[in-house]
Amino acid sequence: MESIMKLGVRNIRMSYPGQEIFREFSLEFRENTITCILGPSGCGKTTLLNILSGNLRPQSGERIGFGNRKLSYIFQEPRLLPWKTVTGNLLFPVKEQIPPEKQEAWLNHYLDLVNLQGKGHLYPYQLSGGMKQRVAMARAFAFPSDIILMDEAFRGLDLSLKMNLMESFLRIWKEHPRTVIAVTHDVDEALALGHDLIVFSHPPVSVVDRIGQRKQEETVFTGNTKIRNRLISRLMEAGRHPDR
Amino acid sequence: MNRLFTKNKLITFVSVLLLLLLWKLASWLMGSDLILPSPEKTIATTLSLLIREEFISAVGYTVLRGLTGFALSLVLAVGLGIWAGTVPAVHAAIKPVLVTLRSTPVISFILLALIWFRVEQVPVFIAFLTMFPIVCTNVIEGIRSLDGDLLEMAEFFRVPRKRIIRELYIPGIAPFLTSGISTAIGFGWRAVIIGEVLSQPGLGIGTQMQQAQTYLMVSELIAWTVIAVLISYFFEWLITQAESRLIQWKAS
Repeated sequence: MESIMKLGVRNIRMSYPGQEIFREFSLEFRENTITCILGPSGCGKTTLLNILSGNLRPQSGERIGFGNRKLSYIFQEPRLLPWKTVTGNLLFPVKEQIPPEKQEAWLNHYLDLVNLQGKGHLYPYQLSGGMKQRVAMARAFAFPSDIILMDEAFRGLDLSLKMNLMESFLRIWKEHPRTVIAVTHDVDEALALGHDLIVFSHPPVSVVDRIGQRKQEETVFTGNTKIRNRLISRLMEAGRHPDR
Repeated sequence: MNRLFTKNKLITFVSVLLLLLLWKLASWLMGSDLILPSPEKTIATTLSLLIREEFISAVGYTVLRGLTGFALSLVLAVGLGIWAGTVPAVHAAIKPVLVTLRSTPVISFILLALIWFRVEQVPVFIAFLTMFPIVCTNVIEGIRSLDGDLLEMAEFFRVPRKRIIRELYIPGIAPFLTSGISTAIGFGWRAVIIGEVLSQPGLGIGTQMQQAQTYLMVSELIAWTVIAVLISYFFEWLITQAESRLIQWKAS
């Protein structure tokens, strides 16, 4: 399996002064699949995303299958330009990617998908927090990417808003499926979104659990207690650390 | 809120009225137009200036000098400000220059400029020197206050550099730029007139003021002052208009 890896990292090594994050670490992702990476905070999840995106170069090892693909991002904060309207924000990354005559229909399609039809002319200050995050989601999907990287995209939101956003996310993903790699420390978020669930240990990182090939529909919002309990106990183990 | 608004307007109106009354009283006590002319005399003189032959050219030249100095300082301040705001070494290099320029008395610049330059150039140079450090400092501050997360987002999505400058840096510093410009214009306008008083170019508000003072035409001196204040108000208003257009994306 290792030898025919299509998408992932192989033998990466990455350390900061005083802390080794990755030591000969390899991980493969399935394409057109939502992979959720769980782990205790500070375990190098964001470092991995930065390596995958090419914004951080590992000290050795390689990333496979990312170099020639287009990536888009959903951050923890919406990161909208306050001086641009919703439409302007959606257009900001894609201006060169989509022919001008197609842009309007293109953006309207994505606005519809996140239930923001008719809101294109509003400025970010006129939107609620949830609406802003939906714009950020639309921006990531409207960008013609092959892979979406998500860093704690639903963190710090109240439960109903979070559910609402995750539903939007899955709706838009079903319409425009692509490879999603999401980092989170929220078990329920991972359960709701992920086909593949991966649990990281404390650094140096190892994969302590991997639950693959889940069918989302079985568990979204209905909650699969067995998997949930398994994940939580794995996370507890991973979170146990010599200095705690 | 509407009632409060009109109430405040009323207070402003009454305050102006009181000031005029005080002026009237003072001029009456002095008893001489040579020392302090009455408000109505001054208004009459101001109106008489408006129809004078050299009025348009005097005002025009002064405004032109101010605007030339302003344009020079704006171009240099924005360019240098963006450079210094993004490269810490450049900031470290020009910081002492900016601090020195800001704290040097205007009169020192004028006295030196009188030695270095031709009469016509002195006010322009002074306008430039007073406005440049203010605008430049504000641009640097604007760049440094830019949201790093937004920059990261733009870079992650591989937005071209040119568009990042045009669509992220420039609008991001716009509020700082307009506030810098409005402060700078206030200082610059006064500096141009002082420069004219001392360098005496052929035509200009400062030149006219100096002449009025020489011949003890106090009402004319105050009349030119009134005109200078009104023009300054006009530019202030112009900037506020530009500002509200530029920054309409901000919550009101």
